[in-house]
Amino acid sequence: MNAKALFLSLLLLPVAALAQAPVIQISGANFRPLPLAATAPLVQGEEAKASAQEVDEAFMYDLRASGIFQVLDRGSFLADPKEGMAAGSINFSRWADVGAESLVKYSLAQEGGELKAEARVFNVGTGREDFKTSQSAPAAESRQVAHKLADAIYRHFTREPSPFLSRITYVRKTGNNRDIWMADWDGRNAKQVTRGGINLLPSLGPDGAVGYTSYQQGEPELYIRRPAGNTARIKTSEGQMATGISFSPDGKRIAYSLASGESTQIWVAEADGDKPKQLTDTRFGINTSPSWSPDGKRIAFVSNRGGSPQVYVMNADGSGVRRLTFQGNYNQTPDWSPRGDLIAFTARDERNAFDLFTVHVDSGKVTRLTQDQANNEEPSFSPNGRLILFTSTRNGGSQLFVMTADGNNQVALPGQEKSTLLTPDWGR
Amino acid sequence: MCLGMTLNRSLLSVVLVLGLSGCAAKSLTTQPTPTPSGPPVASTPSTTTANNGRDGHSNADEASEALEAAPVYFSLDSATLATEDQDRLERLAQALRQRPGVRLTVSGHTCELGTTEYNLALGHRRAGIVRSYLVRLGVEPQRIAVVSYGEERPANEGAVEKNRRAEFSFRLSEQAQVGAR
Repeated sequence: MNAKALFLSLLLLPVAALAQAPVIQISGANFRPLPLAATAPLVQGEEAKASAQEVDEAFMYDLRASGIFQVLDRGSFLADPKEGMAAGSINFSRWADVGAESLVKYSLAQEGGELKAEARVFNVGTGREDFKTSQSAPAAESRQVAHKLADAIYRHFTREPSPFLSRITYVRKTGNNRDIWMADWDGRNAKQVTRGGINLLPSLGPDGAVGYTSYQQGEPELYIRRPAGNTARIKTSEGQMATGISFSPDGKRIAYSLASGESTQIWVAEADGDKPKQLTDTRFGINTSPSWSPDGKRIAFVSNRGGSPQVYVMNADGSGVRRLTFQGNYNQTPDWSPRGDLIAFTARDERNAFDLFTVHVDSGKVTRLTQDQANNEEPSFSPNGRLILFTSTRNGGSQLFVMTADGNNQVALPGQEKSTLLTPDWGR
Repeated sequence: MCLGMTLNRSLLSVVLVLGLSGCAAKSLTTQPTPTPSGPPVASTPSTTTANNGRDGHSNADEASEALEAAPVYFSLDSATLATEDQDRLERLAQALRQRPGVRLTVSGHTCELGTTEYNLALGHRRAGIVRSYLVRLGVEPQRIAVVSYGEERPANEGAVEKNRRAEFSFRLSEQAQVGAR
């Protein structure tokens, strides 16, 4: 670096420091989705053209479902569709006229087996390019390019990792079969894990392993499918019914429910089932649905010890049990936010309608997330805690949706019109 | 669980005479149970006699009726036995005490008005309470297995109250099967 460049970079230092602060403060009281225009990709060459539609679907879904943007309808755009990607060639007043505060333009090209994309983010008010990113992926995994681009843009605006590169698991119901599937966060690239029979309550571990409950030996037992493809049965006590495996955040321990006699209790063990330890002990009650706190020190769960199923928290050794929910008589499926502050849960009301809520772990403050949209169940937080994946019957059958952690921007995952999908879990 | 796969013909006859179904509990509860006198029971006098001799039980009709256990139904979220079901379980326990070769599985079920995971536990609790009741009435605990299907195997998709249930499926113990051959 020569002296002039050093001088210039010192001059720019305060600006660079400022740029580290998030453009969009998601947690802030003044949060509002940023009005953003994203143009169709500028496609270079015939090969890239073949992937363009798929890439654009994934890219636009990511931006829309992220909850941080108000993505403007392309049909309303006034700018010349052939407008280029350089700031000098863009007529920013046209973008201001349609209400855009940010403008995203991107291009696609294919070189050999590699799909390459470049995106630029412009501030419509200042007419300046704020951010630029280049991403690539094998052409056979074209959607990955979109998710990587959208992730870079999300990080630019929030200084946080996006959920766009994460994976989900869920149960797909077909006739009498319940099968475990894994998919990208948008439900695409779905892979079937089990083949027929009753397989329930899947849970993703931090290493990509999926744990689930299966009746493949006649009675429900716990299984773990490792990323390499091998499946192991977790040994639990003979004659007891083990269900609902849940991995600790570091992946080293599991929590699950064990039913015997007239009661169901929560147990923890090492990831392979060794050293099992019983955490709850209510002689006749039901204790189930364990969910780990992000530091692995506490577990949220459901217990009917007070007469109806309610959400409780306890320390990971079973001590310090505290009831968290008090409204209604059916509060279920707690999921502890990776940010630590909230637990999302399913509540059934007196009309037998199911809706989603969060409860603040420290204050006990309850916030409603869904209302009057048929049944909404089984919340699962995104790895960054900003979004919640859940099931809803608002379109008929049980489908997967995402929304923000405060219940806004409820969006169906694409391409699931004829499926019945249940009990999703979002990989952390 | 499905005994029918491995049963030889004469044993099958015994099972039918008893009014037992080794196969899915569904068939036991949704189809009329064959009676010893009515067709199409593929029984022969010799197997009936052999059975009566083994169990020391002369009234096959009565046993059939007692073991033809319809499901026990529960109210929403509940695992409490109704009074009439307690009476019914007493008759079942008596029949089981008289037939030590018969084993049973109690499967617990719920309606869909609940979450998958809690319903598995609730179904287990329903089956567990039925089992405990039979054990208190003198049926050996090792003869009664329990399994929960939660909301995954509804009896009737259209009628939630028909799905909150505990079902029975009966089979002959290994010993009894050897005896029948």
